[in-house]
Amino acid sequence: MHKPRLQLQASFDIARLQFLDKQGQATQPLPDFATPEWLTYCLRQMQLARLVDDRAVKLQRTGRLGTYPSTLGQEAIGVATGNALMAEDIYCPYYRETGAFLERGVLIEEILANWGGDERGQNFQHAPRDLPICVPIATQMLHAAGVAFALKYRHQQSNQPLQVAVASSGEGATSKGDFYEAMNLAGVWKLPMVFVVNNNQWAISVPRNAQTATQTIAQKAIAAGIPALQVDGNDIVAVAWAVRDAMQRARSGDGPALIEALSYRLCDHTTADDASRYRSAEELEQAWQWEPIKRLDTYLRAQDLWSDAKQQDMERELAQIMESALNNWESRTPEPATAIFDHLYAQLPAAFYEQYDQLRDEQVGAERE
Amino acid sequence: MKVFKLPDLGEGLPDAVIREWHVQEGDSVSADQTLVTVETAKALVEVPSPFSGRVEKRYAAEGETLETGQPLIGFAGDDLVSAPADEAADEKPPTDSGTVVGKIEQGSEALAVEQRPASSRPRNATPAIRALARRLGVDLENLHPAGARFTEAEVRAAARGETIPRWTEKAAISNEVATKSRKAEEKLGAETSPSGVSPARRAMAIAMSRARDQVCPMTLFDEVDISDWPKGSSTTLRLLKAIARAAAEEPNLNAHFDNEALEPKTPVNVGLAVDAPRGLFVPVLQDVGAQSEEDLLDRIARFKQQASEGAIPQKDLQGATIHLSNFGSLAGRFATPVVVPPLVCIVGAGRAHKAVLPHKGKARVRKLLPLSITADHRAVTGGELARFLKALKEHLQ
Amino acid sequence: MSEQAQTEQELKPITLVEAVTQALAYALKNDPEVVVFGQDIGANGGVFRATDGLQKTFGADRVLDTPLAETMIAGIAVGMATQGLRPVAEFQFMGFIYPGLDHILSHAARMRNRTRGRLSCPIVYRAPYGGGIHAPEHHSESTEALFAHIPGLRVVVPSSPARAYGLLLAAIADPDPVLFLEPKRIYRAAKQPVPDNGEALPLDAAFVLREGTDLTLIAWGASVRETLAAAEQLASEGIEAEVIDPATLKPLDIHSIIDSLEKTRRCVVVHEAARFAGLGAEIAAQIQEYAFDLLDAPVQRVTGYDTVMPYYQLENTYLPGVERILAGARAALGYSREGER
Repeated sequence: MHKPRLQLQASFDIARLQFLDKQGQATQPLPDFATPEWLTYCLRQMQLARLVDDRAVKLQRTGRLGTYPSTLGQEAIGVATGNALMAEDIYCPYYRETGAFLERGVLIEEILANWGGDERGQNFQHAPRDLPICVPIATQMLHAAGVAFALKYRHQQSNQPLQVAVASSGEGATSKGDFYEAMNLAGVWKLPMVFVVNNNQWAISVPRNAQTATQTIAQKAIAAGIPALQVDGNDIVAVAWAVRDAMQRARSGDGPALIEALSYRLCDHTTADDASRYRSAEELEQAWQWEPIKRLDTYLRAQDLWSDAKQQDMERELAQIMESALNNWESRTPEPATAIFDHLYAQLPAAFYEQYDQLRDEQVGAERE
Repeated sequence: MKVFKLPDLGEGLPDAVIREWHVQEGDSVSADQTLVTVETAKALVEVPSPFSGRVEKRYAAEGETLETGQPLIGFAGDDLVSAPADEAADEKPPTDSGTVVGKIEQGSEALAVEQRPASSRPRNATPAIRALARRLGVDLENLHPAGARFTEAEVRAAARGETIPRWTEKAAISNEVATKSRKAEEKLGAETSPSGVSPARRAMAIAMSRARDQVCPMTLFDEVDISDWPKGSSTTLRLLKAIARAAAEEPNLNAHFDNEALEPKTPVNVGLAVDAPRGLFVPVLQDVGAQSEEDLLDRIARFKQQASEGAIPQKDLQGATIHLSNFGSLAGRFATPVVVPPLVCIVGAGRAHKAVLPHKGKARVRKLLPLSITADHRAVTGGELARFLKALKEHLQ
Repeated sequence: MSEQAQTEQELKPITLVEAVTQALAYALKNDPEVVVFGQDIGANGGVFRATDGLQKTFGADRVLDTPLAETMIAGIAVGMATQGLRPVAEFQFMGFIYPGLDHILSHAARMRNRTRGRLSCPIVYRAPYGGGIHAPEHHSESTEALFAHIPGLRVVVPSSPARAYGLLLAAIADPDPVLFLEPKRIYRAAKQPVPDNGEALPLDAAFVLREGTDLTLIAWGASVRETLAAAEQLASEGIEAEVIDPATLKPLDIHSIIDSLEKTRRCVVVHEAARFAGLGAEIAAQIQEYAFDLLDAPVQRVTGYDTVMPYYQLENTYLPGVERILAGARAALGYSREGER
């Protein structure tokens, strides 16, 4: 049976962006914002993120912290993204976010509090309008769409400058309905938002090729009619460029975009996971070769912008920051049990006074003993 | 001195063997520096220092086994950066934690063998009906519902002292019978229901009404020459054995008829009619063909005893495949005994008597046992009944 | 509702659904942070006309037609609310709310607690609910008990035009999320003058719709209509029933119910929702906890059966009507510990 003639309606391209290759060499001129100061700042922030993660994992192993999701090997994505937002923009994280949180002014002790079982960690002192850590996968993307709508609404109704919402997720989240619904709405309502997907190749134990049939994650944006770009996620300059560019366009009213940042999850899914059960040591060892901190470090040293002495200085400085944060976290007084009622509603309804009183009495009794 | 105890290295492991110390007493160590390598049941584990400080004392030697929670190492007082940890572990999880978040407790509690849930017996009343019965003072334990479950009407009727048989009002026990049985009960001091009728009689009324409504009875009468029985033979026993053998030849008489389907049964379980002060009981002798004569006699005696006390266990009243009524032990020659569904046959034996009959060409006095066998003609043909009778006679002589 | 009719001092009586429209219009007019959205609510004015005319008056920036995606509707409301807007999101029928349950339960009801008050969700999720309109499958749901179980959420059900207006205004003004269930069977059943004065009715408070001393009847939503009819029937027999509509199902105003029981000592709870773990169970549990000694009869529940809501041919056998309510009432009135009267 012969094939009938068809008329092409639409086609798409997905491009990938890279500035620094796996060996830390520039493959094209760096953008203007990638000054030596900015680059060394990023190196510092990535190392701080890695240090925070490392200590947090050790705290979990010593029973002082609950389950913790590290960003080992993915630090460039968080730092570059968080860095690209302006203060008034809104960040809508998932849960693997150390670098981005630090850029947004979330305190190390707030991060530790969250994973240490204390909701006060979500009460970000310095990022008052950012959304909290979001555990149900991809739901933050719909929240981000709502945030973006609010930002656009404010801009329309009261002439405030248009701010942008950034939603962050892993690649597993792109299998969820919330992701598609959020992109779809963002596209048709032209919302000022950017989707940043950290494709670290693993969703717990499910590898990227078992997650979806698409060749790239980025092309899922085509289904929603929004632009997309794939970047080398371990190249901090590329991630930074892509996010800034997308945010700029959103800020000008051009609507949303999706960025797929390719990296590799060098750590377990969380401290309660053991990735050696499902992936090979060889693959992991290989992936270490193109991790982001080493890459930037190599580049900077080649440009004479970094040295062993500078590295040691910085390590000392970061260690102090870490110790100070640990102290702050450990010296927090635990919340009283009645805290579970304090923010249930704006004002606790009378229907729950009895339970509250009962809990409070139990607590007072326990304290006396 | 701050003492650091051997932490739980995962999965509630009870102890570990010290394999190699990496620090000496007097050494200054920094936080996370490896102190010692220990071996657990599952793996070699490196234990990092929980804080920076000076080692003052090592509590166990290489090769020694240390229990989880026992002191491992002591640090000199002041240069501690953070509070002592309760546990420590190496950089990667030594074993499968079996979860993806948090921590699942590994307990060692041993559970006993599972019991079956308490309420596995079938219930014949819903909670609402039970509540109603309780309020009205009706004891459902001694009553039988007409259907699968007690209805509200039945409970209220019981409270008023009535019985409500399912299909007709005529089967309600007549006042005369009720009065008579009540007097008999009072004489014997027996327990009766509020109406004065024993449960056994009420059950009989209900069962016989059902029988009358459903069964199409046909009865064959005959007499068997039992002159050659050894002295002291038990009529009941011989009847039981003969029934078993006759049923083997005509299985359709040892059957259930239900929903228009005839289902021959094995083995032959004979329901034996036993007359008692409280009424008619029909205990079941299981598999009469296989039982020894002594066992059968024993069992019959026991049933009669239990019947007179009014206490035959429920399980012994179930499972009959054919009935036997030896009414002749009292009086009567022929009868039209009643088939009770789902059974299809009842053998009635009247009182043995002597008669003069031709026997081998001469007039002789012979002893005769009258038989009256009723079968349900919905299920059994006349021919099947006749052949059963013939076989029964053969096995009785 | 136009200003004109009111200034004429003669309020045109309106239906429950019109009262919803009136309240939404008032809120949109007086609070620039209010945004109304859902499927078909803009140009079409909503499939029940609950948002009729609003887009024309307030513009497509504030009254929006969304794409077809209930999870999205529930989720964007969360995001909007965290930034200080007051979204009023519509699910076209309660039967289609379930894809949004994740965002209602996991986020809207928790955001304040999760962030220790830093962010919160002043959202109203609206949905027509309940059976009795001869609709196809899934259009007659009454699963308010599922939502009442969620900590941090309010569940509100009006039963008259005036209460629809006042309670919806209260819900919109409330700083916390409210599930506002509109009993569609009585959307247009009765009319009532409702002044468009922006006066909110109190949340968390029950309404005594009829006073009595012999029996307490508790009902909400469309069941209130049949319950009041049953009360009239009882009155003709000399029995005065007190009828209470909790209106806010969660948090529940149990005090008003107990006050009533101090007079009557017997009560019946009526709901069309299925029996097992329906809110009648919660009410009965609280009554026996706090008022066991007051009771002269067990709490009766007159409810939908524990079956799937049938297709409409059997709908009226499923829904508790006046006869079943009366039977429940008689069971309560006729109960005595020693035996039956």
